[in-house]
Amino acid sequence: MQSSVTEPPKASDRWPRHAGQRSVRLRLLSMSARISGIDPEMFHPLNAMYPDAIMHPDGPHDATNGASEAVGDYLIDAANPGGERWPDRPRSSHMHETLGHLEALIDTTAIASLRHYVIVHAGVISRNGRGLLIPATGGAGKSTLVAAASLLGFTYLSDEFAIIEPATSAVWPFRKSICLKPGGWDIIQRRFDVSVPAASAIRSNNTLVHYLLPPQLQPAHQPCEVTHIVLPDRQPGTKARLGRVTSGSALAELARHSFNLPTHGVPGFECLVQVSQHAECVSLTYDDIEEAVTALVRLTGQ
Amino acid sequence: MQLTMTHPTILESDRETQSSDQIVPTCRRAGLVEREMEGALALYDAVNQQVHILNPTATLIWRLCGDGYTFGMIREVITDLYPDSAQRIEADLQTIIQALEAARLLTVQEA
Repeated sequence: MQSSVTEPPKASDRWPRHAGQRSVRLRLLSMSARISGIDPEMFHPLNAMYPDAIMHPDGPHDATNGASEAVGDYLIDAANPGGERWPDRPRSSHMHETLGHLEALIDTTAIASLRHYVIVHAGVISRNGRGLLIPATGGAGKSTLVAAASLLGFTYLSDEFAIIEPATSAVWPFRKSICLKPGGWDIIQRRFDVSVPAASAIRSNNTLVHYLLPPQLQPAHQPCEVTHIVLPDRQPGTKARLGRVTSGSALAELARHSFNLPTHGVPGFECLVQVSQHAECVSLTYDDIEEAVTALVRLTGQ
Repeated sequence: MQLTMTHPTILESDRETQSSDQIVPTCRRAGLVEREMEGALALYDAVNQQVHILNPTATLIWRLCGDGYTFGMIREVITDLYPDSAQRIEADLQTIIQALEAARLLTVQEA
């Protein structure tokens, strides 16, 4: 007897559920994108994934309803293959897969659109006005650490993209909910009073991810000074501890996890040197997530 | 920086036929930006779009290479600094110079 490995989509998850397709506008810092041709049922999960960044075209904040794309705008046409800049469409009728596809398109568009910033793959949180930059590879537990810190009082800026202003070395918030893979979501659910994700999506590698809306978001137009660079190192069975690392080691990590350093060249290098030299650079070895956050609280002052 | 040896250098291939002491490692200068960081040296290679961080010992070796020191002269300087590690210095020095060469930060020539 054969058994199905993946659960088939429920009828209620099938997309589109309505014939009428709409477009929304998405704004993330200086990026402005129109996502056209999507089902109205997707407004809510998209808004949960990108809080306060999604606007209905006929909403009170969007004056560009129906206007042609301005210079610098990106048209993400996820449902119709006629998109001007990012012609693509989901290959599934499952809404979670469509959301996963849209997320990839939006993030790719954001990286391209925000190219005048130095962008590093890193989590960013703050407390007491102190900004913590946490560079790490995917799957290292960065988002789980950022989620736990956010639920324990830290202000959230990003779990994935540190958007660094080259001229000031300040980091801007990237208003996207915290994206947790199954292991991270299990830890957060088990340790905190969180039961339902703000949204869920299936990524192209077939991983189901859940989005957590952090309680305290950094205001969209308020950058934060980086006072600490934290290099996380999850080691099973170890007590959480902070150790000093050199600014050179921190710089190496920032450069390794940069998305667009070659685009910026020497000024981008100077920017990362500036960030590394002005921050206190530490390693954080931990196993238990709450112990790790306690260490970060100590780091940022009572 | 990554201390990996990706290919043999003149230091190894000519070891049996001539003294490595006369080898002159020469720093590349073009397209490199240097920044001091707590005794370490951060190098941005604008040509190959890479960042290298040299620890203090590698930084010293890099500086000596820039001043025209031969392999033998560099070994003497390092041995004076770390007399207790004299037996390891030859191999360590070769490793570092090979890594710098592999990273395209210097070239190695006969004197």
